[in-house]
Amino acid sequence: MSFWPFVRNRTDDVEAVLKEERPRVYRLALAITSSHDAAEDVTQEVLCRYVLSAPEIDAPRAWMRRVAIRLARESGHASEVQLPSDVLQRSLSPDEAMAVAGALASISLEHRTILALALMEGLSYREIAEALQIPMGSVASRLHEAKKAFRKRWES
Amino acid sequence: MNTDRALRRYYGALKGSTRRPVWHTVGWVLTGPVAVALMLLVVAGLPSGAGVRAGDFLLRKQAQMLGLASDGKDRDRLPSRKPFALRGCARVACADGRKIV
Repeated sequence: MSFWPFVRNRTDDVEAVLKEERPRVYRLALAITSSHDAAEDVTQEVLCRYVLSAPEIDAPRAWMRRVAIRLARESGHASEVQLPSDVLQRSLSPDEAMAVAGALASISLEHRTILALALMEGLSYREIAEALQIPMGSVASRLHEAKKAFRKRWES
Repeated sequence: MNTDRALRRYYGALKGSTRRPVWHTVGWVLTGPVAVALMLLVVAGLPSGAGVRAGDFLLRKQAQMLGLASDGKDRDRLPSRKPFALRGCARVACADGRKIV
């Protein structure tokens, strides 16, 4: 915050973006990694990278999403599903949440990612295509495959 | 359980949407009718003079606070019971150094 409250500077803008985007980045990372610790690490890394290159970024949200996806994928499968307590408290049944997280952890990273983008973030096919850097025509089929893979694990 | 529903619930919990008990929804649904009923009561009560009486009471209290009326019982001697008239009257009375009731 600058001395004059009506004058915004670059630091204010960066701080505002960090504050607003942090929960979004974290939950996306958590949905992909299924691990609180891994999601925290990914979030930290994404935000650090953003601070370093903020002036060059036009669309922070899309940029952070792409970086979060890449880093979460690089961090790979978590050894065990680890959901934070507030997520468990918010879910109707903690056991069910853990079961869903377990089933998601057993499908591929690509499938997990596209499910999170479509069902959690509510992105359009075009936004998903941009985030994953795949053709828009592939989004629907990949999403269908992801749901099918999850259903197979969930019902088994 | 339905696969889509399980996924929706899970992602909803991740996203931070909290569970809302049934009464929360019922309360919001009832807000509209209750508000309308209150408005109807107010509108229906106005012609019966409730509003006028309430205004009168406040004016008498105001006059007492200003030292313009002793107990407010002599309101019939006021030239008008309407708020703006009383205020005008009170101003004149103050200027003359007299009490209006």
